[in-house]
Amino acid sequence: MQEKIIVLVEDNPNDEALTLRALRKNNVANKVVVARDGAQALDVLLGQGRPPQQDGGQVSLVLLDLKLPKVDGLEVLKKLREDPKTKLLPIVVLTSSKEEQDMIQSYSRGANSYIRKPVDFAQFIEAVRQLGLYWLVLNETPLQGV
Amino acid sequence: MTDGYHAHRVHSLGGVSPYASFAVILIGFLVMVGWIFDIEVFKSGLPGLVAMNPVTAFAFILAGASLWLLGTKQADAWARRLGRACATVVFLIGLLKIGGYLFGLEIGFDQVLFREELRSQGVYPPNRIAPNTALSIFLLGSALLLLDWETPRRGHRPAHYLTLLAAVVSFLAITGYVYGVKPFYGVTSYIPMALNTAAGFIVLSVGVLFAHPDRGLMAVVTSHRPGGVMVRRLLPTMTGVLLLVGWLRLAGQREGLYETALGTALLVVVNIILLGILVWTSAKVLDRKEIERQQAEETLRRSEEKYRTLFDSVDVGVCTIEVLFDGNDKPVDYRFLEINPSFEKQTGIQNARGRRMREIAPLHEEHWFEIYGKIALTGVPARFENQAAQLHRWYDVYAFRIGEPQERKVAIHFNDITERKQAEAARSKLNTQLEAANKELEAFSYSVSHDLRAPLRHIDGFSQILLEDYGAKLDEGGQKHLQRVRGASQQMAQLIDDMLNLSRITRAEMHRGAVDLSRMAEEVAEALKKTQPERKVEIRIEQGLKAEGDERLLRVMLNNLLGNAWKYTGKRSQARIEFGRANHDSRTAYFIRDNGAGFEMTYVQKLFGAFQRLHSEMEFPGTGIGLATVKRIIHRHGGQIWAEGAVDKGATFYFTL
Repeated sequence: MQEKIIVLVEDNPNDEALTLRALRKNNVANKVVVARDGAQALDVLLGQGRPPQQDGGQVSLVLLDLKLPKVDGLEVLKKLREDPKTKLLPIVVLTSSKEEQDMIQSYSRGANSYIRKPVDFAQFIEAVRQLGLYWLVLNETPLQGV
Repeated sequence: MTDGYHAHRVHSLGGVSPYASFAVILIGFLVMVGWIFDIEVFKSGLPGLVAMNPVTAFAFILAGASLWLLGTKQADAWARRLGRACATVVFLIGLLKIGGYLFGLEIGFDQVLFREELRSQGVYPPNRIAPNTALSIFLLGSALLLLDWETPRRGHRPAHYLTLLAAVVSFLAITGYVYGVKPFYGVTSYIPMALNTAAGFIVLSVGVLFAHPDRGLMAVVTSHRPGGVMVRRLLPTMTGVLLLVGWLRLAGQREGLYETALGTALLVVVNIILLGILVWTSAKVLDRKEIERQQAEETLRRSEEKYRTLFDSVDVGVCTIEVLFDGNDKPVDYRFLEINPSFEKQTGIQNARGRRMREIAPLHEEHWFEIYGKIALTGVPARFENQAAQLHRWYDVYAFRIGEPQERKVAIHFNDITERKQAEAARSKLNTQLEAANKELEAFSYSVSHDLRAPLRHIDGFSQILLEDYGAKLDEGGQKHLQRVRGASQQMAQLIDDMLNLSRITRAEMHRGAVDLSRMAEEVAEALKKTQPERKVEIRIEQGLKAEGDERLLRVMLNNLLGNAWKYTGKRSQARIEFGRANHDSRTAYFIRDNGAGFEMTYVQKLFGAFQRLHSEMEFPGTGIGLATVKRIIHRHGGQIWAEGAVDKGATFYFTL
């Protein structure tokens, strides 16, 4: 069985550190690839740079922020859904806002889930725990994209 | 109306013509039958009188047929040709016979038909066509040939004069028979005109005259004007009266009642009396007609005056124009025909009457000419708003065609709407600015929602990490401080959320509909009870409270008001919350009353301000945004909200929608 890789798309180093800590705290040992803007995320995921299968792993979950430099999160989402390779890949929007338009657009572009990062770090750790449990353990996805 | 009557009379008189043709054909036919079967009455009309010549009878049949064929309006070309052929034969019969008499030639074609019977008459002179009969045949034949000809300039109809001449000749003959004056019906030594012949000519003359009752001489007879009335009344009556009186005078003298001098005197007196009566009654009729006419004129004048006053005094600019076109029916200009006083006021154009628009305002927009040109050509009225830049004005215009289409006249009603247009432009500019401001505000709150929360999250997150990873190195005080840092950042996050909510409520689109406030309040109350099931709170909700409004916003409002009541009765062992309706200045006001902590009326003004609080965070937690939100929702519904309360006596919030 191939290793399940998580791709974290996050431009803010503080958020990156907090998210990685939350994953570690919840004993999620999967490899995490961090993309620091939208363009990099597309590079990582659509194989223009490093193919996702690199190092014998398989990308199983994308944690996507919306406000990103270069290409914003909604655009990344759209591109990923248009590409056959990532059409069925679980993508969880993980962002600060709960603006209604953000939620509507994320879901209508094919996000699997929309989670607002709580300010309370304890709550955040709990959210990441449930998220990891659900998407990496409980949830089943077809092996080869399409 | 008069024209209607006139048309009707012309029409019904025109109907005389076909009957006359049939009568004439019948007379000719009867005479023929008379000759065939030797019936004296058929031949001469009255026993003992001269019989009609068979050729004359034949001429009557032809003339009757000709009149019928030519007099019918919808006759086709063949019928007309046949009619003219018949008329030609009649004309030739008359011409030949007259020629014979004039040049002393014996042209015996009138002896061809019924030769034997004519001879066996045994009277002298033998039965021929009499000279006056021949003349009448000739005249009427010519008249039939010229039936439709009219002199181009004055509209004379020669056929009418020819017919009148024939009628006079025949009338002479009839008068002769009535009065027993032989020279009138028989030219010396010749055979006389038969009585039925004379009668036939009179009938035929009438038929010819009435073939076109509205043309030539007949136009006067059928006219609806006083002249027509005179002719129609006087002519037949006078003829009949004079004939009758003359005959009575003769008959009286023959009976020996009086001699010539007395008879003549009597005749003159009776004539004067009868004609006097006739003239007087006619004059009376004419007088009455004149009075009617004057009255009609007066009515017309008054109506004219009324509309003139209307035209002159209306506030609306009114004018009539004649649209001027180039050779390709493209409208190039228009000329003002009539204008009302408001026209000058609304356009600022002085003395427009008679002048052209291009002359007044050379830069007047092309579309004005196009619109008026189209109306003048199609007759389709138009309502529009348009700018006249050279006049520095805007107009609201209604225009429609008047008069005959070829006159290309248009009437225009218009109003100066410059002020309204300026106000509209100003409003539209304001709207644009407002929209831009709203957009900016939206972008701002979007950015707040994303960017302002992130640092708070980091503060909280790293404080937590400090506590977890380095907690051992901090004493109790240090740890407490870090906990306060976390609490403060979480509270600020709450403030940001509340602020965003408030701004969202201000910008949210309203979807008005019927809302059941009572039911909504019950649902909110149920939800509150679930948050603290251990509390004993008596909640009374009046049933059947319904309102018009945005359901989502009203729910937010009730959530806040009932939530407040719930919160501020938190320290009561016997908490009571009431939702109901009261009358306030004849409007329905709703209220939410509680027996909670209440407030000091001195600070009632602060109650509805954003982030204003009358209680400490320790006492009752909150950000002070709830009532500000409620107030905005109420205002967006066009209602009002106010509060009454006292410390520890509870509070009552009233609102209208």
